[in-house]
Amino acid sequence: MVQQVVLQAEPRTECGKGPGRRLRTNGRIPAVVYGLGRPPVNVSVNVREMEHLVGAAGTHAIVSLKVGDQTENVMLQESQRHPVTGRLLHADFFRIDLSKTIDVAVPIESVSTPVGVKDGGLLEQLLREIEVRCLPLTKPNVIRVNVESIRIGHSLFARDLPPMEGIEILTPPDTALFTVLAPRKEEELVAAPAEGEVQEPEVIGKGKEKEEGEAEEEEAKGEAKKEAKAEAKTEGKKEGKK
Amino acid sequence: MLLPKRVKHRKVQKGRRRGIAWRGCNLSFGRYGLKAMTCGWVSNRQIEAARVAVTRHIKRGGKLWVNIFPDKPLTVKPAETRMGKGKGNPEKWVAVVKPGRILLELDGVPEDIARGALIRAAHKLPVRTKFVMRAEGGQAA
Repeated sequence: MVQQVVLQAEPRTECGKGPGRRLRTNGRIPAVVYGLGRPPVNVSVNVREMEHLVGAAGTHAIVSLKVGDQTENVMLQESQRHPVTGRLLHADFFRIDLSKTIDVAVPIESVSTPVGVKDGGLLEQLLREIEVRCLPLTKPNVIRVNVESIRIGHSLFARDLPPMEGIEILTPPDTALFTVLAPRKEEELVAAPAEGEVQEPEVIGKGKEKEEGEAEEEEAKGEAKKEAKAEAKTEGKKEGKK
Repeated sequence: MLLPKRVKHRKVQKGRRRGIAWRGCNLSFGRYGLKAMTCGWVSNRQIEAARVAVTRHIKRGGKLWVNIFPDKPLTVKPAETRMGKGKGNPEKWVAVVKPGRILLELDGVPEDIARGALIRAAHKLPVRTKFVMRAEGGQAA
């Protein structure tokens, strides 16, 4: 069950790079509210409150957004981060009707150690999120999956998830979520790096290759002629001296 | 070592590394990763050295993903050669790395081992890096 977080937003009239940067230097980030057939509204929110929201309620948090006097029920649709610094840059809020179901991605986490891992295998999580359909306030922040029964070489599929009340799983049933891989041999782990000359890959386009090959041959011939000439000259000089 | 199987051209121009990596900057496979903080050319030997360093540190468990591929040929002119007479021969292959790029990803090991392994890998690379990990709820921090 999701706790609805309250977030204060301020409407903004200026858009674009300059106003956006000014907002970010003042501790706020630009955001947009859209959905339910109503026109989109540009807003700004406090970056610290947003960080707290993303940290506590996850990537698709259900939020009660206060814009001026109005309060809207929204879902955090997307949050953009800077690739290097990781700071928040922008947020998208999607208007939702609390009485209607929504399709949303929920993160999954493994619980307990699989049998295969105890036998030396490696648990690999193939899917990080699954698509579910539920009412906004029944959306779980995370789905914890018991992976205890997975043996080496076996997988846990979406169809193996236990039924949850009020939540319909939309991910195809034959999608693998977790698998336990067999342990690798030590020879495979550290392969000796190949030493020696740099290998050359095949060049696409055979005609060009031929041309290049011919050119190289011609170059080699030219060099051989030059060398022969130089030798002849040095010999001539020696003879002249004698 | 990593190198392309087929290429369109044997030699390419040097190019410039402007800006930051807006793609390949989030963890896609593993729980832990190594993120580049500066730009640079990472050669296939350096990638291999980093891979071996990680594999030796994590021993048996764990899975490693290498997210960069050296697809750019670098040419070098032979020693004691006068300038001119055309471009040199391809000597090594490099991956162009920009700040923000995830270079390696790791999963299936505890955090302290992952951190140690990726720091050892970072010592083999010509770019400054940062250890990153996926936060609770699946998002990369």
